[in-house]
Amino acid sequence: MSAPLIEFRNVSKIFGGGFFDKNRTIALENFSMTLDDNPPLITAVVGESGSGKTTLARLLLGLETPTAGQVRYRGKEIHKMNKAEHRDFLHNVQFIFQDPFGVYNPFYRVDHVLLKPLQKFKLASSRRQAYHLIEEALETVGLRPEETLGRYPHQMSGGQRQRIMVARALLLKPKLIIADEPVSMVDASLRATILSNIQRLNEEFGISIIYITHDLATGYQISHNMLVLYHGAVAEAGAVDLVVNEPQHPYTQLLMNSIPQAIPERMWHRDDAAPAPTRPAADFPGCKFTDRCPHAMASCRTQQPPLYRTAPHRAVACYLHEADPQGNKIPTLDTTGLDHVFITEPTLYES
Amino acid sequence: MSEVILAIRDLQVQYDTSRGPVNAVNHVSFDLQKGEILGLVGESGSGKTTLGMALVGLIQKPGRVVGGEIRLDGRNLAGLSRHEYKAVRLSEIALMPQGAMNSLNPVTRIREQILDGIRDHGINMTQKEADVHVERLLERVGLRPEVANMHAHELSGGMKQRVAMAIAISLQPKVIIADEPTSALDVVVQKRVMETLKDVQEELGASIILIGHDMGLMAQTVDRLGVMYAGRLVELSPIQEALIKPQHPYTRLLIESLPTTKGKKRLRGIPGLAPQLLNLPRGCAFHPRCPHTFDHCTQENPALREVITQRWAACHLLEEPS
Repeated sequence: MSAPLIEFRNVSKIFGGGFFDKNRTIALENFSMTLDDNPPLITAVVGESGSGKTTLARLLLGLETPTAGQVRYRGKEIHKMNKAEHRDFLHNVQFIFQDPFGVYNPFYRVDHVLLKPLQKFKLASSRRQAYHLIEEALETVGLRPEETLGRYPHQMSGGQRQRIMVARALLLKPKLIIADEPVSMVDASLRATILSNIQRLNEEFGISIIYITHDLATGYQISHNMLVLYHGAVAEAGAVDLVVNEPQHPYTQLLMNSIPQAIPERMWHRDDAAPAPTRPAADFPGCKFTDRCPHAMASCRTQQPPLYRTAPHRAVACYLHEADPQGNKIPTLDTTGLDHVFITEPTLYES
Repeated sequence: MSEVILAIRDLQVQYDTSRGPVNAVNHVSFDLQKGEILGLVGESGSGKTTLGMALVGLIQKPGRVVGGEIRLDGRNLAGLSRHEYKAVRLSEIALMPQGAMNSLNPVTRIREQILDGIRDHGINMTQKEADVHVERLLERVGLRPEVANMHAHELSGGMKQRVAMAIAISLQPKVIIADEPTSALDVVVQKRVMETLKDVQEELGASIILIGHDMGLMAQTVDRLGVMYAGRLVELSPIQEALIKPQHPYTRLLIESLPTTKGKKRLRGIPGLAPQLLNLPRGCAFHPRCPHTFDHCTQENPALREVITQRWAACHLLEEPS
């Protein structure tokens, strides 16, 4: 048995700081999660700006070092890899960025961004073979090679550029792709196309995907599991159908009620959650959502609630779920327990 | 009983390029009712932002309005000089520009930025009156009075968007053009900002043209929906009807491509690419991407017609009752 694809063990990331610094920002707090790739699945990480979702991605890519805890790829800590291991990591963990405009060098044709990784990892023996692979990858994401290659980035639309990034990720046949808000800067009509491209990478090429977004609707459509972050801590996690269709954490409920959906029976109604946080969330030890929560109790402020396992494939960090309606105590998970909450069969909850 | 506040007739905006003129807004006509929120959706390049800019007289060279009328409360704005337009803008028709939150001046206080437009219209206020006015405006858009003394960098994205809203309503315009007012905001903040915009609109009795590409946001906010494609208006319908039974195939595909949380289905985008305005396909501009194209579509561009009462669409499929 090989080591799991990705492991977070009690990871915290604190920005700023120093003992007397009041501007400490806890981006991620004591976070643990394991992602296995047997079978490879799509995991959505959802939250607003400041939730820690991008920090999570940057830790995963080795762009940030954790303040505490460990991030491992195949059992090896990302910051302690030797050269060969690191090379393997760079090959197998790919990234799709939010901004399809900023990642291109405007002086090079788009071919460059596709050829470079093939050369770096020596995946093609000749230029001809390289172009053959590139054409295949472009066709997979629905672009015509003859209309794409040889052009400059400014000649392509945002949607085309983002699809080229998906094709580039595909060229390397990685084990994991981290997609950070890949469609937030793309026209609505193209979002569906790009997301279905990403979905195909998972289904046809067996690539695990971490899909980072603030949009529960797209997260619901393409992923199997979902993790909702609020101010650096897990609010709710589990099988995507449970989290989205019957959200238990008041924050998830707020997110759900805020999605603008084009369905006549899902119209917005005014909710009673407090608007913006009234003070920096790091000030008190309890649940960070307390100030905005319509159900806040005294205990919420004093201690961070543990994750209650309210169903086999769901956990929620909220004192409202301390006990079930009959008054039976609901078991809590220690931080490593999240690993067993995610579904491992892609068909289990599919409707 | 409905009253037309803004009547747009045959509006054309052209950009001169080295490869010839481009029609960014192509013979667009519609009416905006008093107190109505009208949505305009379309892909990038569909002309929706250009249309909004044309309505407030802000088309910059090499673009210009080459034809048509913009009748605001009976007065045609299309022929106004720059100087004349300046008097109308903000006081009668105001724009919340795209990325309004980045258009705030970083070095002046919010108070001054709100008063700037008011003073520019020759309205003189005492210090005291100005303070009261700014406070009332901020309160109206859900901001604390302290915000008046802050700078833009001290505000969150949602707050900046509210300031832009306060500026837009500072002279109680009859029409507000809001161009993607929430595109960079989180969903929760987005909902709050849109709720405020609606409240403000009801209080003022103003009309709003909401420009965007998020069909979901339109569904939640607007009374009627206009769909633009390649510079033309291809559908105009009350929002509920448009969602339940879109007339134009493009509208239908736009709605179908939207992810929802109601049942999983395979995501499907609209095939093909947005057309290049310099090189528009013959006939209906949508025909290369349309699943229902037939001969006639490649020959002649369909006109916008009232296909059912109050529902307008430009599609040959809807022309002959079958």
